[in-house]
Amino acid sequence: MSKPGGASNRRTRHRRLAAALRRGTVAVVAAVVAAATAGCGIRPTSALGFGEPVSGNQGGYNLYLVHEGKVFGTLRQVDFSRIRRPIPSAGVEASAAPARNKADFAGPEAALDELFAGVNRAERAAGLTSELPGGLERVADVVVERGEPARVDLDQDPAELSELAVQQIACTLAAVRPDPTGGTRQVRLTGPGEVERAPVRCPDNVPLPRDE
Amino acid sequence: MFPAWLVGLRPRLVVVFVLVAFIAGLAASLAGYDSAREGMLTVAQDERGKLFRNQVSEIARRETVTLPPTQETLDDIGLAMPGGGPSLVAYGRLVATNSDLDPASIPAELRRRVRERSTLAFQRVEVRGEPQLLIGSPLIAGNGMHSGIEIYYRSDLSEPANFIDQLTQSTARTVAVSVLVAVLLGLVAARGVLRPVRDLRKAARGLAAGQLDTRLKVRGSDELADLARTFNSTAAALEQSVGELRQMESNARRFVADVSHELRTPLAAMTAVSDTLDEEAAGLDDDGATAARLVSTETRKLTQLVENLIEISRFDAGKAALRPEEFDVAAAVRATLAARGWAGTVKADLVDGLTARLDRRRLDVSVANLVGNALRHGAEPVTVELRDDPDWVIVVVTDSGTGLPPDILPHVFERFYKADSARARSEGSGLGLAIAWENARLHGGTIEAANVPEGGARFTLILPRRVTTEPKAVG
Repeated sequence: MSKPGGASNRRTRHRRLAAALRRGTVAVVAAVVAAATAGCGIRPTSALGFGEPVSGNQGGYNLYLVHEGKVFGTLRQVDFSRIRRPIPSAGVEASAAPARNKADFAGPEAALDELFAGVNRAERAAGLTSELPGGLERVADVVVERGEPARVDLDQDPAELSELAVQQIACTLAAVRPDPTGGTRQVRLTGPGEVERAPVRCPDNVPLPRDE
Repeated sequence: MFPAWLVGLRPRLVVVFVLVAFIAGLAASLAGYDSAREGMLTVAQDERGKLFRNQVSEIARRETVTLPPTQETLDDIGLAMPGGGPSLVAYGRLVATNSDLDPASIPAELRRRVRERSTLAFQRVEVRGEPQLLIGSPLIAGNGMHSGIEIYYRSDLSEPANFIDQLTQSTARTVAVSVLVAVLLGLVAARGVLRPVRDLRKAARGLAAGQLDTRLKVRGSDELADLARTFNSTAAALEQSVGELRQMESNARRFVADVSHELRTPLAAMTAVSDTLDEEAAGLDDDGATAARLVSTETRKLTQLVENLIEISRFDAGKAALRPEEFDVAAAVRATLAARGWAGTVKADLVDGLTARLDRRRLDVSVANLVGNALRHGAEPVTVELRDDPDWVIVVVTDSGTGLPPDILPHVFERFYKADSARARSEGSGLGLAIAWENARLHGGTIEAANVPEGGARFTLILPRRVTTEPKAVG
């Protein structure tokens, strides 16, 4: 009676010990394998920033067109002999943010006129479009006040412009130096008969030129 | 079920050592490996990033690049990328590529980063299992203005990957070596622990076998040395106790022997006197004759008892010696019966012609004691049987009494053991069976006591036919 009981006790003890050993071994091996595989080789990473982007020395207007439903910044080199008014905008001291190229001296009006002129052939070939209606024109100079959105008086009702179109104007203005939007990235459009559209902001995921 | 060699102390120690070495080695290697890997990759990426930036900014400064670019411009930029690695130049939907690198193979995250955050960015990807580095950048025109052009470049990281593989292999080798060392260390440690344990086991066995002078050599001052010291003191105490007991026992035996010897001389005189008294009893009156016969009988019994005591003392003192001689066993047994006057009362069933080399006197005493015991305590008929056996002399004495009670059976060869406690005085000396048993043992044989199914007691004397062993000391 006692003998088989003792034997079976011993057996279960052994079995338990063996099971514990096996469990322990399995856990250790699993941990080791996990650690080893986690540490091995080169894993894909997410995109990381790395220093400054490359730059060249071309000059022109930074215009904001539309590509794949989003505002898309591009540079249009121009023949600067065509520029009519190479003077700084009123109300902004030239020394506050020095102009960087000849285009800047033409003022925001020149950039806007380039934008209103629509896409050129190369841009169209690249699939770029503009939401601005053809024939759109400003009726006055851009009104610049410090720390305020730039104000542009148009010859059409601004309410009929698409949001994307107004963003194009806002971004293009914000890319001019000195910045006619006063750092707000916003533009307030007015139209015939004192109609006024609420300020529209150039989206944050649209990069503006860097101030170097 | 695990075999014994897998659950012992040695494998357990080895396993623990190996696990410790393995985990420690792996942890140390992994820590170093991880930082080395990161450092190497960072160096490789930085290097390629710088190279890429220099190349692209060199292209951007060329006057031939006009903006907005045409397909030809993009192709020119792509061709100008040195090294001939896979590159992608994109502007809007225009794409110039020299390989399988197309917009779809650029991860959206990298693309967004380049386009919306306007930074140079890289991402490690795997292309067909090969580690690759994708670098992307917007082309910034003069004075930080956006050209709208994105340039991507793919660079092979298999060289640092191979280096990392080598690092992994050397890590594995290091761990393997340290595990090997751990096995050796575990074996050494197990040896250090197991040797004292083995010594202890051997010593304990020696102690159990009666070698009370067994002692362990005490090495060092650890727990095992403590155990050895405790074992030694225990063995010493045991040896002393047993020695004292043996001393007392031998004193008692010597006392019995001395007393017996001292009684011999007066008994001889008493025997002579009682013999004379016996002869003259006829001439005495009834009371006197009875008394004379009583004295004579008791003196004979006393003499017999003293003789038996002296015999037993010899056994106890180890002085009993065998004097083997060659003789016919059947004849010797018949002579024994005849000498005691039992030839008529005891039925003898003896195999003739069986010779043996035994101590004849001791065989005589043993058979006589067994038959005498059967006659006294059993009931007639008593039979003596000599069996035919090539190696053994087997003499079986069977009586027809009620047999031995089961509680008596184990004690039947003890000295002065009274089967019936109510019977204070036995007709025998109380030493007959003990002497018979000692004699058998001296020959290297034995006596078995049992009951036969018919109800009598049966004593089987078994002696070797050829006594070859030297007479051994009894104790």
